[in-house]
Amino acid sequence: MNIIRNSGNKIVLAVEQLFNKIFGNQLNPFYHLGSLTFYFFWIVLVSGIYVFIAFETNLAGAYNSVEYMTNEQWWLAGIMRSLHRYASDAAIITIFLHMVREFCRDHYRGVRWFSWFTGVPTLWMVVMLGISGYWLVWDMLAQYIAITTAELIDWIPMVPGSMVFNFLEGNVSDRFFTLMAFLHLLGLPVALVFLLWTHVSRISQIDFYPPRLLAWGSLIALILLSLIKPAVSHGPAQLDHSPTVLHLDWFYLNIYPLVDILGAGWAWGIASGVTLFLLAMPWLPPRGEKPRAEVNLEHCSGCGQCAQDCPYGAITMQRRTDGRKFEFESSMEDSLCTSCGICTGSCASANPFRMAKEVLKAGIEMPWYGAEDLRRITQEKLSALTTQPRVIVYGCENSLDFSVLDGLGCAVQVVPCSGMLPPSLLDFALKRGADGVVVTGCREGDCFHRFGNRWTIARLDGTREPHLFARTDQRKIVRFWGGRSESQEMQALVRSFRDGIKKEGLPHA
Amino acid sequence: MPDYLRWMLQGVCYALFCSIIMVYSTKPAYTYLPPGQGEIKLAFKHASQRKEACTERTPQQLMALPPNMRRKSECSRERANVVVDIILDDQHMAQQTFGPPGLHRDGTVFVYSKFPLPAGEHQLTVGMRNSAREQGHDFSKSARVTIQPGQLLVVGFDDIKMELTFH
Repeated sequence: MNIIRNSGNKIVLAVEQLFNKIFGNQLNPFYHLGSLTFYFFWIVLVSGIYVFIAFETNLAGAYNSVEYMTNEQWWLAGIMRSLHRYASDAAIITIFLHMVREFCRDHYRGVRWFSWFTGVPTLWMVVMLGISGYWLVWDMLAQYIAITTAELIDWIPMVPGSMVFNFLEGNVSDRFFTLMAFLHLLGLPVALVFLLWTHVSRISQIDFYPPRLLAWGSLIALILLSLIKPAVSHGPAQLDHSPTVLHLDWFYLNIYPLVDILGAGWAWGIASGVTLFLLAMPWLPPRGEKPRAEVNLEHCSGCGQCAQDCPYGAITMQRRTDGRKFEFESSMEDSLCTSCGICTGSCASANPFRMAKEVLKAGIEMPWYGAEDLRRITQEKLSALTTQPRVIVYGCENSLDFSVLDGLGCAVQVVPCSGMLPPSLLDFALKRGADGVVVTGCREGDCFHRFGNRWTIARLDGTREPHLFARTDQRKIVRFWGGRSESQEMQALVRSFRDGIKKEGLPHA
Repeated sequence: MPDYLRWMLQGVCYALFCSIIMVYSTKPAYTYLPPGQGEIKLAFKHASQRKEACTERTPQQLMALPPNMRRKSECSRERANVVVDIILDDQHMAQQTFGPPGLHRDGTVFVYSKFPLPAGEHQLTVGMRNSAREQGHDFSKSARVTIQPGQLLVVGFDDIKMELTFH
């Protein structure tokens, strides 16, 4: 599994690098696959509401009402119908890419298992919703889907009766059709909303909407597609006939030919096997977990910055329990913590200028890599530097390959996430003799821990607490954001940074 | 990269995305029934005969039972399989066996199966065995049928008239 994931990660990073060049990091669709899926659901909802206005939810009228929309009012209802279908298909593509990406980027194991695990039934729900939509058109494709679905359900040993008999000529009732309409229009969407809420419930500050330009681009593209190739129906359902050639929507209906070719039992077997495998993936193998962050109440002022910065909602603020004068204190939920260390970076008490003669303790930190470790390692690395100028590179363990800096004569301190760096640590490094500091991390918009590089940029820019010292010469701090494939570029930047300091005394900004 | 090139490439990406949707939302076409074929469906519910015949209890056996359980006949619960043979133009086309559902195999048998057949006029004979006998049919129906391409012929069983039906 590791080999597949690592190989996949290289491919994903290469593709995303290409898209970064085309779209820019902020608009790269691969960084917004989840929010794009939500956005497509919105298009599906709005177009579906419009289509429902003219749709007749009975056997006799359903087909004709859809035909009316497609042919008579093609300029609005027809486009809405096509948008309804194509946005649903687009959602399947973004869901698939989202799953592949989360797998390759190793975002699905450890504490993050929950989102992956709940995503699997969510996918089932999306597919069922799509299938039930095709059913409502009540054309030959709908008839085929209805009968084959009934065959699938009849195969389940515990199901009493035989559903497929409902689709013999003269047996189909409006009541059954109304049930399907209810499921598609209300039952399944409500269940989907609940599952989506569960899916994102363990992460904080969710981007429900993609960037505006990406949203407009996607909408315009889908409208153009609707005009170029409007969604059309097959012939009306005829229960005394069997379908011949069907134009299946393979995004949703791919299971049906399997039922015909292999039988319902095999189709269930394959679907169940794939589902169980997906559900089990976070534990194949499980990720070795590091000890979670801990709150040191004697150093916590209850400012709440760590709770605001935590990407997983693992920190909440609660009333003070130790009787100190502050109103609140941080409280950790271990099951949500990924040990990224972003909380340490946000904690004002992680300032390495504090407690100079003692072991430094931050209000919140990880027991295996705390504020004292950050300070001590920086000091050790700087002391070990023998070449001039003295440059220290801070890097996140999930982004670049720092072995490319070997032999360059600079110090490298690797942390779990760039967001773990308190800005005061950079001030500290400069005070302790560093001529320049390089802060590196994942590509912009693609932090392994969601917000690490975003918070770091904001902190260095002075738009988010904690800040650098006001007197700090910002020209001595350079930033580089990139993936493993951009390690050589990072090496070139560090080299030119050092050369600049050598030549001019002050580094290039 | 110049801005105009970036915009153009973005357009290409959107076009590629939509092309994938355009193609796989309808293609490749799936052929359920090849042209010139019709379909026969066996589709009916039927309570087959008991696998073992009921036996009459002797007066002594009846007296040995509690008063509320003194039924004259003693019957096993298990029912026989339903076996259906389809003979098309004197060629044996298929034989299908359907077992009764339930832990005691005593439920109503759901017969459902489908077979493609060439369109045209055929002599169709369907035989059904619903008892424990090993060979032969308990019910049979033969008729000359004309199947149009794509037409569905349902073979059913009328439980009131106790006969096989074609419709």
